[in-house]
Amino acid sequence: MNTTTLPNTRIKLRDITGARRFSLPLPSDPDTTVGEIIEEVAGELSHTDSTGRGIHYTLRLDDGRKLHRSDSASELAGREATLMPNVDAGAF
Amino acid sequence: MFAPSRHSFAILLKRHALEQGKLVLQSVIGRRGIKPDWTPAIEALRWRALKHQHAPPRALNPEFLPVWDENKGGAPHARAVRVRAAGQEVLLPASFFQTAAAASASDVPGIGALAAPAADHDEDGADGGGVTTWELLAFEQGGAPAMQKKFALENDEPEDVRFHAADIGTLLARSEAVPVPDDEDAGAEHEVDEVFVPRVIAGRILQAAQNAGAVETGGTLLGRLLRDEARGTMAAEVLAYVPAFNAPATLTTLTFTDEHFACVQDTLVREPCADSLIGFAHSHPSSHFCPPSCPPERRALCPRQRAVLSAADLAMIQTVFPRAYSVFLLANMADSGPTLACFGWAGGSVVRRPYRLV
Repeated sequence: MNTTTLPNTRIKLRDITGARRFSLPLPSDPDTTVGEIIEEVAGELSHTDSTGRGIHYTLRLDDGRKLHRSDSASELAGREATLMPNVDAGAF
Repeated sequence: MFAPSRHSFAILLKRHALEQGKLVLQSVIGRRGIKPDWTPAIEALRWRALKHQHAPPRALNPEFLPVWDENKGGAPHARAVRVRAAGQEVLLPASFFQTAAAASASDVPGIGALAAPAADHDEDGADGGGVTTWELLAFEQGGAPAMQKKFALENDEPEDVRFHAADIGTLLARSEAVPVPDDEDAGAEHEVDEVFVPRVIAGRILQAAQNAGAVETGGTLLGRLLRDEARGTMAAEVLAYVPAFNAPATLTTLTFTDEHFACVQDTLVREPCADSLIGFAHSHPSSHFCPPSCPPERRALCPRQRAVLSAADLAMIQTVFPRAYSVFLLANMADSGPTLACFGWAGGSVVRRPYRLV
């Protein structure tokens, strides 16, 4: 994971392989939640399984802390976080 | 990351009845836009450029060109999409768009699971006697404005692949080939030239599958990427296996949770040799898929006994493991005995491939 220091006004996100990386400014609305950020990024990648059900993502900060969807997006200020999927493999 | 395609892509949904194993068109449900995740195709282009030019390409600006399906009258019916950039090209079959099609159709009431294009249709795939299929469509969009984003999200360059210089010839000499069965070797252009799996890890995967009985089991493969300048080959070497942690499992599903992937991230930090997420392994308890009442001679020919990845597996791979070097091991616990099959990316498709036991 890239450990370059980010300004507090930016957020960096990556998938678990580092193939997909995103950055965005810290939202100015203090009520913005981590869940809203996840929804925005999930729209950029495969976000459903083979039946069209949505894949549930969480965010994990570079220090290993897991963020909840209801947490404030300000927790991400100047940080890099990884999108962690909950996803099914299956036989049919 | 790259400019949007000058084509927009869509699917045409059709409802069929299943009569004596044949599809009979009942109705055309309609056209739905799709938003493909092109990452696996872009990854394949990057990998091929890296292989031939030795430097990761930056700021790719790929072209997405539909290959028209002349059997359906040509445009707008597409049978594939050609993606070009950095002097490389990959051909994405229509099946590449299955996940995007399922996402697009998910809010259409009453259609059930979408059948893959060109899939065999049997009673299992039918939903109340009906099957919903889709066809790929493409349209010139003439510079349509990009969708408004809420948070000014920017795509950044992917992280560089970490290579280790290696004498792959020596590894080949002290390893044993596990070939692909003759009827499954379609001569695909595999992205990774060689895949090395330690016997001890292969044994652990098969033993865990045996112990799990009638439920799936699996885990994540960690390792490193090797480059042999003299031979001009690139290889993936599996060095560690992290069993799925806190993973709900049934006969036909295995959930890889965010807690498992957190454990994988922590292991990558601690592990002295492995520095790359290589792929995943899981089992299909195939001998439990067929009812005990089914006679052995029929079970031996049953497609459920074969080592094949499911639509759910392929969707997971597109979502979680889009890297061109990713490989996937399947412990197929069939009546004829356990086997460990290997799959990997070849252009926009995931295909069975040979590997080597070390």
